[in-house]
Amino acid sequence: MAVFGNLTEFPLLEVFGMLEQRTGVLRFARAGRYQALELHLNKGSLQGLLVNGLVMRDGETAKNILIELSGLRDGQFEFQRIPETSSELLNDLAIHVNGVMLRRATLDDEWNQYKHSLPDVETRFTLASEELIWLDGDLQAFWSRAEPLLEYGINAQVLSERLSLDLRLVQIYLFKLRSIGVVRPARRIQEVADIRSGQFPARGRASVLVPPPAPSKPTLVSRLLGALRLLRKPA
Amino acid sequence: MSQPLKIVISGPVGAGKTTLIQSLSEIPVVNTDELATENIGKATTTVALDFGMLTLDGIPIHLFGTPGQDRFDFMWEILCEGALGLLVLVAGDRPQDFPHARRILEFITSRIAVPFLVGVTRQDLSRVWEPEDVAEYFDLNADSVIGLNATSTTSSLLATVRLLELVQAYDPLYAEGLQGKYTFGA
Repeated sequence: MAVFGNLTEFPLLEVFGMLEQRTGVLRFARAGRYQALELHLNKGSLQGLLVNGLVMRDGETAKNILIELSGLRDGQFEFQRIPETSSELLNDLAIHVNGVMLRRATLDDEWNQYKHSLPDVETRFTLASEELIWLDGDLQAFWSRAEPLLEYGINAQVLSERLSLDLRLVQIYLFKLRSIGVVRPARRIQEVADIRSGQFPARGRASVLVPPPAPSKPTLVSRLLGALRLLRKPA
Repeated sequence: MSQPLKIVISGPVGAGKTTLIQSLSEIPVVNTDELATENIGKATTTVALDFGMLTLDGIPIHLFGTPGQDRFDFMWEILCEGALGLLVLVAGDRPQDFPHARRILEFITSRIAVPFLVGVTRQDLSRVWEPEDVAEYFDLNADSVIGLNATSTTSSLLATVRLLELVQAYDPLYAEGLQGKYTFGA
């Protein structure tokens, strides 16, 4: 008898708990942005992963897909037992599933802690520092993948899609990198000025805007300023 | 009549957007206030926009106030397209609103090229954040943040002067470039 259901009724944490001592393939259909996922499990360890039919061999990406999957509330699943010695069972990865689930719990805690300070998912970020900064573990792994994408400014939503990372995780990483001065929100007006002066992309703290040369006759803004200053006088 | 220009005033609920437009406008302010359906600290709130007008040297300056709540964020971008400047207000005695104000500022300015100024309101109160401290929090240059009292016409005019000075510093011909792009009411 197959184990099957939907993430609506069974949170992934519970599904993994139930399958901890079993060996086989856990298949998901239409889970989030994935049409088909195959998780090859052997007693609590993720040994292989197929994403829409393609074998995923990168451990970090596989962990991120698990984190993303654990946040989904919809997606059909079915588990098929197979013997540990079967050649059907992939053996490309060795990821402790419970460890990843704990990482997910940490993410939830951090999210609750920082959610009121996090920027909008559509706010674009760019590089802020030329200095090499020592980063730890997951943040370093994120930075090394995100840095080239940040050069021209990118928002959390797009970054999450490009790196196949949970959106909330990306928001928290950007928040942390911003707090230590590695990234900053992009200013479109600064970018336009940098393009104008041929200096885009400009890495580092937002520079002082250099205006184009002032024309000899009064401009519209100078006329407005003159009128405003006259308005202030009677007051 | 000359073509109008527009200035957008944004910020969290209760920052003083409607009050500032009332202080500057030479016409009765058109607003879309509705009874608040949740506890936001006041009885009514702006749900679409506030609209006022100031005429400078024969040029109508349209003043648009955005709704302060996140669920109306689609309005922020619509209103800021083609704007001469953006003034983001935050109440200096409500530091709990600073993250929201920063989120609004960064959402808009990272996507739209518009000169901007942050206005720290309620400077008439004794216990209030100084503009330079707010600039630190927003990670902005001190000249991009000004203290003001939105109930005062003089103070509101001073903030408008500072905003236009920033526009001029960015590009003296910036307003000329906008002419014809914004045609509301023309």
